[in-house]
Amino acid sequence: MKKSILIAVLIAAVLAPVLFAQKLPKPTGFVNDYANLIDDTSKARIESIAKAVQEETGVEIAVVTVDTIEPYGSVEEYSIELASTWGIGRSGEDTGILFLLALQERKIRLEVGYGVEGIIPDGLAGEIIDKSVLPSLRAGRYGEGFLKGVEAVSGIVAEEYGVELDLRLNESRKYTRSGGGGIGIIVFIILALLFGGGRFFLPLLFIGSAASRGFYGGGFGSRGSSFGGGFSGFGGGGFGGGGATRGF
Amino acid sequence: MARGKRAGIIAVIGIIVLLIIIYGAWYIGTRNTLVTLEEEIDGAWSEIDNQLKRRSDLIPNLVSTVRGYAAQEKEVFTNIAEARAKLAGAKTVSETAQGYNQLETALSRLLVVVERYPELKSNTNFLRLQDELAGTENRIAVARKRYNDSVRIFNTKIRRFPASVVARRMGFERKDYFEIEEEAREVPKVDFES
Repeated sequence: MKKSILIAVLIAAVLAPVLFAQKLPKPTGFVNDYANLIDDTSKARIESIAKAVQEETGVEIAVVTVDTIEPYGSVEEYSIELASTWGIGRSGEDTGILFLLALQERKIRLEVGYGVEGIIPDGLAGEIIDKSVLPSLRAGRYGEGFLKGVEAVSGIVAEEYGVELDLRLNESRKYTRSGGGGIGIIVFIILALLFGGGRFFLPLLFIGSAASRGFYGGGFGSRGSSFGGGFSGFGGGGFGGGGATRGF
Repeated sequence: MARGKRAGIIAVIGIIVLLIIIYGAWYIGTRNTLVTLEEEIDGAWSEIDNQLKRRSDLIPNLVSTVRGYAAQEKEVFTNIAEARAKLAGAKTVSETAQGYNQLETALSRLLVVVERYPELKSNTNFLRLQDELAGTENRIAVARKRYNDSVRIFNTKIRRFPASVVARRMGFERKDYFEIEEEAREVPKVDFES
């Protein structure tokens, strides 16, 4: 009798550290919607943008929603712990960005890695949340809020790296000079002016091809795995606590 | 018979030499570990230092923005200037902690003042500074946690046998933790609702 109790205690003692380490979830893609708030369309779009940004610039964007950040004391503590553990961003360059939403606490945080702090300082992080994410969150349209936030961030990053992303990042126009899809818009205007007769026809063709390139540019749609077609984990980037938090 | 005895002596000498080598290797290995840990602590401390300086640099900007709306609140501005000076003059870990606490108190008083001026709260420059300040506070919190974790590992190691032997011989001493008041750890939030 005593021996079996002893064995049980020993087993518990060995397992306990393993169980407590399960506080943090594991990443399953760029979008990790543990609180079930994001609609599939927005999720797909965010994943394709994040994949393109990762491929073109090495910057890794993650979106996470959780029901609560407990047992951690604050959203900031949870956010940096998660971002550091997952290692979002390229190792050494520390180019990671995390959008974290805590449902019960009603907080949204944009966590910025060491390497991106220069492009997205805290003041800008707050502005991005205020202008692009909060309005949609307050209206209950979570997917849209995150999508706009990701578009904004992607446009800023793409401009900084001098990269033309093959995507329409409408929201980023509020923050960048070119607006991510700038060249596409200029071509559209020229076409519309030149082909006055086919005004309704040609622009539609152009938009159609741009949209399909955007959605499937990262190879997302072709593969049907739950990892969104080629998510291979994050790069091991580091974080220092930069970013901004807002309540909604 | 004599040959057997000689072989025995050689064997004993061999074992002694081997033990000395093993001891030496362990000693050097432990010393190197302690040096590495100490370097980590110094690195973590300089991160705290950087963030404290950065916060210090942000404050004049914040103060002048608030002054634009609330010039008559002289006492608050004086408190902040004094606290900043004290923090700048801090030399040890505990002095820095004290300076940090004092500046925190002065800043929270400033934020109380801000509550009375709604036009100030919606000023975009002020909002941006608030975010920058909150960001720096958060960075200090993160750097502080990492610093204290490094210190804990180091202190534990040099106090425990057998590393304590090396530590004492080579002059490694316990490091101070960076302790600040718990209320001071509250990251000031910008809230559109209020």
